Amino acid sequence: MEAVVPDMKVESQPTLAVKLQPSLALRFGDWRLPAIILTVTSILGIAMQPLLGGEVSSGLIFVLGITLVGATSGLTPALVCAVLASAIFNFFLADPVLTFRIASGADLAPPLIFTACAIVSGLLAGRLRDKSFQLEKTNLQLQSLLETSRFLQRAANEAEVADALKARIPARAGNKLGLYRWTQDMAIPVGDSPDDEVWIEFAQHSFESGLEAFSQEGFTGYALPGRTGTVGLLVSDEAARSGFDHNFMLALAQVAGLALERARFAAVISENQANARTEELKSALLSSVSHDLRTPLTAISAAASSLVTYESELDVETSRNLLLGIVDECDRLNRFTANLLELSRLQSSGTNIEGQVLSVHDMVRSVLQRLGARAASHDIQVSLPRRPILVLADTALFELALTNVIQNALLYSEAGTTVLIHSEADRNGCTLTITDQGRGIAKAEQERVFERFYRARRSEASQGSGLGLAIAKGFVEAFDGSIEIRSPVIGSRGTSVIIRLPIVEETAT
Amino acid sequence: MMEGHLLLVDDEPALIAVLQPVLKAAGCTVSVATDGNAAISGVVAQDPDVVLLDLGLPDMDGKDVIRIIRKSSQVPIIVISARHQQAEKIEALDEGADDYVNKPFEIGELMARIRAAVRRSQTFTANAEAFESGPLRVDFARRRVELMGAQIRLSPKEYMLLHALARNGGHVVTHKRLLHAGWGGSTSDLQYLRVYMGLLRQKLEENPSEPELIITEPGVGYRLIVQDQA
Repeated sequence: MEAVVPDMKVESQPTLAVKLQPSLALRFGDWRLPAIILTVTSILGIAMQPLLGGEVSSGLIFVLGITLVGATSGLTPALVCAVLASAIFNFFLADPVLTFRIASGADLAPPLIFTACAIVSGLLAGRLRDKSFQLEKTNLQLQSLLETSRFLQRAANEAEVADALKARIPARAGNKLGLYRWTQDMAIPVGDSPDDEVWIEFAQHSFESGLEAFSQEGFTGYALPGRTGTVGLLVSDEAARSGFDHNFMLALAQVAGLALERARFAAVISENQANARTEELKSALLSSVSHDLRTPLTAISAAASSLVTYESELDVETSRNLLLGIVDECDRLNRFTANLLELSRLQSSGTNIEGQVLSVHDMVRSVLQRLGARAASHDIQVSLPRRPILVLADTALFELALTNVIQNALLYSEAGTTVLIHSEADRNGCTLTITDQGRGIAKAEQERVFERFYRARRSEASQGSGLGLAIAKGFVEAFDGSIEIRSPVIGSRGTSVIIRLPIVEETAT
Repeated sequence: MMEGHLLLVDDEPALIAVLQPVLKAAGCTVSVATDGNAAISGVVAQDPDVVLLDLGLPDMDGKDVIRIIRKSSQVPIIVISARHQQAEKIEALDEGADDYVNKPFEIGELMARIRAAVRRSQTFTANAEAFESGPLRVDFARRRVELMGAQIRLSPKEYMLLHALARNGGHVVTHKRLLHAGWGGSTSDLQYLRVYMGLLRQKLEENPSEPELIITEPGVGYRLIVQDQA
């Protein structure tokens, strides 16, 4: 429908209008229907003249045909048909028959009246048809514009704006379309817009022209207006112009300009958000380093200086406790440093950490041994299957992750309660579950505890660095596993940390 | 050795484990509060001579703890804070804390602060008549300043500043408080304060470029040294 039609609209920019207007001449195919109608009416009019008893009735058949031509093919065919029909009427029907010569007197009236009727009815029907066609076309374009605008609304970034435009427009016109953004006096292709020199050079020219539409060498560029000036350019090649008229393209440029600007703002916002997140992480790191390094350091400094200053006034037991405190705090510093280092290793190498085959049994045993006295406050129960479970993992990370999770269980539950370490394996992998009987973790906090430096806001948690679970998560994910928290476990109490890792099948020995 | 009852407010078990026995060995009686609410009720119930307060508490902001304590008690409060928490520290001092120690600290430094605080709470009261330290004597009632027995003439502003420092002898006094003492809050320009402190030092210090009486606490304020404390 929207292919090629006469466009009657008066363009606001005549120079461009000439270029942009589809030709007024109709293609050959479009003359077929008027020709058939004219032929049929002529035959009917001429053949039925004896039956109808006069040229007036035949003339009405012609008028009917011309009206039909006007209604179906528009003004130009209707007028052409009117002239032809008038000639045929004159030749075949008006006296004297079979000549173009017009008789005088009473014979003059029928051909003249016929010609007038033919032209008027052709004019009216044709104009009506052209008007309604134009309306229909405008309506279609409007619809297309709305649809495109809807698509553009959804575009989240510049490339999507380009895609949305291309998805809408070429489907209708079979053309080539390029979207360019204007950055630092340069036209830069957006998405997969044509990036060859011809296109970019034209886009550049088009920008520099300062016109809202600029045509040259078969290309037309439409400036995309934003809030603060031209933000980009929509370039179409020759073929593109056939489908849509100038005003439509200008309207499209408006919509696309807004979408492009919006996408750009969205990019700025998301960049700002990323920066804010980095800043947040930095300040979290700083405050964590401050807390987790300074607190043990303060205790060590106070204890050591006390031992020096009050050597004689401290009894043996107090001195010994101070020394033990120093050892403990050194261990805490060491753990924090290890956590920081491993975290940066996880971050820098991503998932490229090489693993080795490790036995879950060995790891649990080794970690518990290392925790030693620190785990003595709780009743630690270990339930492991008889068959060893083998996983592929990094030793240091596995040990650290497991230590962190067990340490958390100890920290977040009262002394004397049970901490259960349970592992089992099936074909899908192994699970290692550490369950405490503490207060549990609120649903809202369960996801956040895996974030770096997140520490549940609770007094007894102040010893944690907020790195433990982040490392555990980083570790399991580096080895294709998963970690989750389930809480409460029994009644309103208890937390389970469930680590899943793929298993390594034991090769026959 | 010193005597006095000390309330230690800290949520860090490791630090409590160190400070409690050491302070006891130094002659104090020590009770511990591990959060802000316990600290506030502890001050009311035990009427301690000194409160040692860590600003990072689990249940409430340390500054709020100070504000609430100050509504009912003038007990000396020494704030334990990290060096980078400068702004928080100054706020705490403005809120009514008497002094601070930076983490990590040596026990000697902490003890000096505690001693100054205990002494002030036991001897200096708000209506004490005079401040005495080494060669310096400030007679509050007669607005008279003496250095080694000889009267020193001070301008009214100089006296107001010295008065503010002497009333808090041994403790740090924040810029804000000093500006308020000298200018009644009509200026916040530290330059004025620096100039007047320089004038005071010219008149009081043996060697003004290496002050021994009026010590600068960088970024926080000034401290009038109690001689046998240094």
